[in-house]
Amino acid sequence: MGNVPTKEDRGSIGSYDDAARRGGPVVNSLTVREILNPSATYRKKKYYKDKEGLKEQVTKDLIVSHEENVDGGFLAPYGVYTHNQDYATAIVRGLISERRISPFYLPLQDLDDDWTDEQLIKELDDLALHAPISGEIEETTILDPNSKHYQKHLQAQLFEKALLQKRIALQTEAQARYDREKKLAYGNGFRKENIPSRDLLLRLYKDATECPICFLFYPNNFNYTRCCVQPICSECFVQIKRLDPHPPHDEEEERNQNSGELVVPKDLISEPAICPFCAMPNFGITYTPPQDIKTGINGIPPCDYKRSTTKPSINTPGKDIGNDDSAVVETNDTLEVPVKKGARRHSLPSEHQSVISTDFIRPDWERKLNSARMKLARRSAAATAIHASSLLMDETGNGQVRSSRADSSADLEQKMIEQALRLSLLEEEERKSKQNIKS
Amino acid sequence: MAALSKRIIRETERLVSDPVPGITAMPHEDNLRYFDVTIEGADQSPYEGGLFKLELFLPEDYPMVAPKVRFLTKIYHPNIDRLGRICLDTLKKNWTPAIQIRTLLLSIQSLLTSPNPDDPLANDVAECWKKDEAGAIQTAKEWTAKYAKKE
Repeated sequence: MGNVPTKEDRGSIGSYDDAARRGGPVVNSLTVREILNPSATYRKKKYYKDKEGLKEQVTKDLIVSHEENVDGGFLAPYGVYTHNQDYATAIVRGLISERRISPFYLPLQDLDDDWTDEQLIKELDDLALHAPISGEIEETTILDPNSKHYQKHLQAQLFEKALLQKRIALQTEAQARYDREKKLAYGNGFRKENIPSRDLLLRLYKDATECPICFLFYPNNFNYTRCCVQPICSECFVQIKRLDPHPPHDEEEERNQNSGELVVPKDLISEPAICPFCAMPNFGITYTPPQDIKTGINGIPPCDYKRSTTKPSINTPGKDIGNDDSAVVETNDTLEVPVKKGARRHSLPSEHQSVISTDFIRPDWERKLNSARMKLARRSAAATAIHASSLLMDETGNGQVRSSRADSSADLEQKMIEQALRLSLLEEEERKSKQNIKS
Repeated sequence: MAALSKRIIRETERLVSDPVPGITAMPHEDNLRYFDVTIEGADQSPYEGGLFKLELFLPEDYPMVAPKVRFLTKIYHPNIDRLGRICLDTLKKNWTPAIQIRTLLLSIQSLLTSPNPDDPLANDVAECWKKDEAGAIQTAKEWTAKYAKKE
């Protein structure tokens, strides 16, 4: 594969590795403006050269590395879900670094209130950075060597296999680095910057709470739904997306059936995801980072975190914050979620600047909709052509033609030319839109 | 097949240890994503006294996608077709990952109490239901007695 992106091709977040290795401060140069306009980021940074390049980059982005940590969590999911990892990893990594969504924390399967600190630390110590990755590739259709796309499909399959192997190798390496440093830090008392202090682990997991979707236990700084203020972990949040483009609701389908029409391509719709809890359209979340922790990217090394003597304030917008004055920390961050002291946060409109929507982390929904429409248009154009020509054939065959044979074959030719023109116009349009995405 | 998620394990435990009245759901021993389900027809409904068998399957990406559910027992209902497929928005576009197997089965149970002939899946049944509701209810009762008898 000649298209392996070099370090420079990578999103700016990649710079954390180098910075961490040099021991310097970690600067995340992905600006809010770039986050707010992700397509600009893609264009500006030439984030990927082609489809394969993008897939390789996504594969790397999905590796959990302990060097890339934010407030005791990570930039890539643990792997509770094996499907739908098709969110824009660069955007999510940026959002986590900016503390606009909760980092991906390692989940605890269970949590017992009776556990001592030692037991809890032991449980956390036993956690791997990532769930086991299955080396089996999903059953792919058996390729027909006579198909004209055989070579292309075969190559795609081989590429997927190689990618999966690479992913497993990279995650194994990341785990080995983590284990080595953990041993040096906890076993031999060395200072290992990216190994969280005991205080940090206890602060995070002592009051771990169950995510209502995956039922796993995470530190209490959850994302909250913008509408009904319900907690949701980042791993579940990045799973929620629009349904694939589909015909409008049944009633309209019925209407089309009655009038004998097929679904018109432009009728295909794609609606924003709904809130899993209250079914409100335009699902989105907000996040308030814990005020007493700022470790990892854009913060202090997680090994240096010490629990302050005052009780940590936990920012759960769904609960009373209490009379702790430090709960509202002065901040120049204009994106701060408005949580009034002692008040429950109200629902926020979807366009509020602190709300991260599911479309925001999957900005390709429009392209998907257009390509689904295009596909349907091509199919229905082909069907019309076949239909038209068979009608004409039928007429000539039955000998009930009013016009002469020459006329009808001219008609047929005319129709076929029109059809060919339509198809080539559609293809040209698609080519253009693809080019737009690439450039 | 990927390992069972914590969520599936917890939901199964609760379905078995703390079942919903009138509903049972038991996973197959050889495939814990495949459940045998029974739903009792509600009192005061045409399905009263019937015990309906269903099958429920949890796809790989459950709970991000809805379970696949189908009636195995023949039933006369405008929103359930001859193959046992169910027309219920909760199973389609209104599915959300916060809905659990238990809540889904409750919605199916309540669909039996309140058929909706204006959004039909079995067109012939829905027609009868609209034209002659008493007759349709009678047929539903007969089918219940014939096919959904409790053993």
